[in-house]
Amino acid sequence: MKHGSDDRFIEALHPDWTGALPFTLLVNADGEVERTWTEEVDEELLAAAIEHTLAAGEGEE
Amino acid sequence: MSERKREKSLGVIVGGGLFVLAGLAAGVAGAQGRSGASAALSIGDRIPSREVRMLSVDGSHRTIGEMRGASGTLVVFTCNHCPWSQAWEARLTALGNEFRERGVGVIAINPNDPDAPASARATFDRMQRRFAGTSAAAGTRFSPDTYEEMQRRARDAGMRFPYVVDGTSDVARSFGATRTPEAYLFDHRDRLVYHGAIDDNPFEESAVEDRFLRDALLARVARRRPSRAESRSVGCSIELREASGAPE
Repeated sequence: MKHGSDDRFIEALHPDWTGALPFTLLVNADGEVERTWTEEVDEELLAAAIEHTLAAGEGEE
Repeated sequence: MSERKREKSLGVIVGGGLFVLAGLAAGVAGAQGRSGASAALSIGDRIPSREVRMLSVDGSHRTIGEMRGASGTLVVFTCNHCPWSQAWEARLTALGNEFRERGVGVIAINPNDPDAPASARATFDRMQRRFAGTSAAAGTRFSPDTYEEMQRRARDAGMRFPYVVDGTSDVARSFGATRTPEAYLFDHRDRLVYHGAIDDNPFEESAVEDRFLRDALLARVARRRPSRAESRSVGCSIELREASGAPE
């Protein structure tokens, strides 16, 4: 759960995020942000993005 | 790949604030791709949409231009339903009422489409559960973005400045505004000198450490630059109306 300053939290999470919710990040196993969404995310689109990231991770093993 | 291995392979951070997960993921709340927003204003930019007439809660029509004050102008995008707007409402009202008396013109603008999805109610309910017991959650209730509800909130809060409807959301677009609440303070020459949050803690006023907007307003009336020109805060995505291409 987040506590403390919004400003520092927003900056730490993603420098391009304005603070507007919803905000969704997809992070790969290396801790890199693959994609972000700043509005409502289609479930199928999100699922496809997750599968793509997982597949890319498998390919690197 | 096993499920356990998949769980280790990626993380999906949903909702941004990390304190409202999953429910703010696919299919819940947020703008519906009705952007058409301009780039965000930069410090030093002039007031956009100064002559757009907007319906105020007292039945009159107001423009930002006619609300300009001798010391500057404060424009705040806010709304009825957003838990963050509700949490900051008393503080925003107090600041607006105080500084209008000190030469700063003040106008609050609701840019939201009142017919936005009912998912806004789902978001509110989740926030109420999460922040149950805090000072800001107490007394908040689901408040649709209708004109009648704007009138009620303005009256109950004791606002002595206009709370107006951005009937096409085009004013919000011209500012590049993304969330509620979001504050823009302009100087006496209509140049942006502060943009961002009201303070650094919406839900626990007693824990506020940085009163960004108040400090900027004090600097403005003293004809000084704010020590902090920009800040960011969590808030609700603006529920834009379909882009019209024309002001109301």
